[in-house]
Amino acid sequence: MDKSEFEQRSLAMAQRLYRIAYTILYSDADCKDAVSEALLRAWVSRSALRNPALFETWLVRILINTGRDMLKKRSTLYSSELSDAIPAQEPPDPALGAALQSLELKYRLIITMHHIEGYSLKEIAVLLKLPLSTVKWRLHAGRRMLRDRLTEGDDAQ
Amino acid sequence: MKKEIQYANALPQMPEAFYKNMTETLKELEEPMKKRYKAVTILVAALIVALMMAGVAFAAMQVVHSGLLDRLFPKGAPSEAEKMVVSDALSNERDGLKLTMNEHLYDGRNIHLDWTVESARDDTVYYLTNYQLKNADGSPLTISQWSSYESNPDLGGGTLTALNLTLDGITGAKAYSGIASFGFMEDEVPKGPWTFTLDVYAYTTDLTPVAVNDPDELSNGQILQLSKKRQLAIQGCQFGSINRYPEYVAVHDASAVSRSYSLGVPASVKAHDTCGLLKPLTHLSVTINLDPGDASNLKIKRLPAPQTLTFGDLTIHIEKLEFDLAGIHTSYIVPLEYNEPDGFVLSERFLILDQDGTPLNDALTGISGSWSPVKEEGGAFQEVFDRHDATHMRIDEGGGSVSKQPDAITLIWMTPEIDGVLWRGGAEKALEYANQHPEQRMEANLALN
Repeated sequence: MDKSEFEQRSLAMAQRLYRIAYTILYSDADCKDAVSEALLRAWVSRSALRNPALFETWLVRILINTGRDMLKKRSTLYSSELSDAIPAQEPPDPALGAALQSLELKYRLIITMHHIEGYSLKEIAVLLKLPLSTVKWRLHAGRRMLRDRLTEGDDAQ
Repeated sequence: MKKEIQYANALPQMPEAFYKNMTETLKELEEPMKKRYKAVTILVAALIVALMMAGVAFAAMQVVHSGLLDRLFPKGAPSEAEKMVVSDALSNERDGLKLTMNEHLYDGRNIHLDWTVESARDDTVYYLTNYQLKNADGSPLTISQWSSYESNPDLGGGTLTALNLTLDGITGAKAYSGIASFGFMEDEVPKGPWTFTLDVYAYTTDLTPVAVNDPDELSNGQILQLSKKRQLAIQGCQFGSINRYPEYVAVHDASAVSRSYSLGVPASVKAHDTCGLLKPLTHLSVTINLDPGDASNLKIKRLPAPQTLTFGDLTIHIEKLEFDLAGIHTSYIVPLEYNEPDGFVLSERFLILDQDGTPLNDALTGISGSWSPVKEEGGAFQEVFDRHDATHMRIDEGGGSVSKQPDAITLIWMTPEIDGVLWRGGAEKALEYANQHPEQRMEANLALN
């Protein structure tokens, strides 16, 4: 894959990459870093991609790994201070955004990938290296928790 | 009636700045260098920034160095290891730089080395390190089990490392002490005398480190760091085309570096080769001669044979579980499908306790997974595409060193929540969690010999 094609196909995924990175990191600054890092990793190791048709899947996988790495590092180093330091981006539905953010990553990432990005459960299983049954369960549990939290929010009002 | 959730409204719109940043990143990408290193020559690139004070002799420098055993066994070294440490104190000095091999420990299967680079120069020095392991006839040795470089947990091998500047009253050291470890597979262990060579290739640059003054360009982690102490940055270096983060790395104190990225050897070398901003200064090299070693002294404790453990309808096959001076090495296979959808979902890792109930796998040095059966396509990401047909996952894990090898162990598996606890809180916290959730817990007691 030459640079021009790499650029074109990456930019065509900008929205998707942003939303996935945001779901993991909840910080615009970290999203930028994560996507930049993922692009660099992908570019450097692009010879590992034998089937160019799978570029998009491959890049998303690299981004998820990169985001998780950043999250782990962040958790280790800044666990107690992190939440205060994250600049808040307002989503169209702030209550829903907050409810999604309150879920653990393993739930919210699958919700974003399935309900927002349109990945099938099987595709998610491949991307996240999880058994299909786990993906199904996490999606089910995540949706249930999301509804609970939205209901709690409504009740509080 | 249930209200339909409009999931897309949960996330904000992509900011323009994000797209702009992505465009800039893509513009900076360059064509790759030609691969020119033999597979067995392990080249670890560590770019180290040092702004040196004039006229200071090597002897007056502050070397960040606490000894090989202290670094390998922070909880106390086993007596076997103490006997195996060899003080080398071999140095090579040139152009104001000095490379010293301080100590090494070869136990017949794993080698650990402690080395130091010092500079008496006034200018900023960068360097790359290169490790070569060879037979007496010069042919390269194969190492496929494991390797690690550097002792600073925030600075894995192949990542940008930072040294010592003087700015705003912060005076740094003028030397860096690194550590490298390599493990041979049983059939790779050298049968005769062999050598280990550490090369340091030093470079200078006209670029000037500057203070970071634009927090908007930093991530949360870096902003948090900035709030504690002022950081330095390398301004405008085109290393950014490969490794974007030099400009964010603290250069007065390696332990303060907030992030590290393992870009791999080709990427790191490319950064040097294509950047064009580094000028070759000198090459330092030290070689130590090693005897074949005797792994029989190693007192490896291991499972006598592979074991299959059954918990209800879940079967786990343990292929390998052994302890040596370097730590714990495990390899096990778990099925991918079980008890769906509400059943027991396995964690990636398990807890290992000794006979006294003390967790042993606190320090994870590496974990990797592979799917079975998979179609081998090659490349780092092949499993992404081939996993649909997989029925099992094989997990290889390496843990840090332990002070005393156990005669028997208890393995505890939990649901995936335990992974997060292990990562964030360590083995002690994970054990606490496991004890609080006995309903999610499976365990097996195994004797070692």
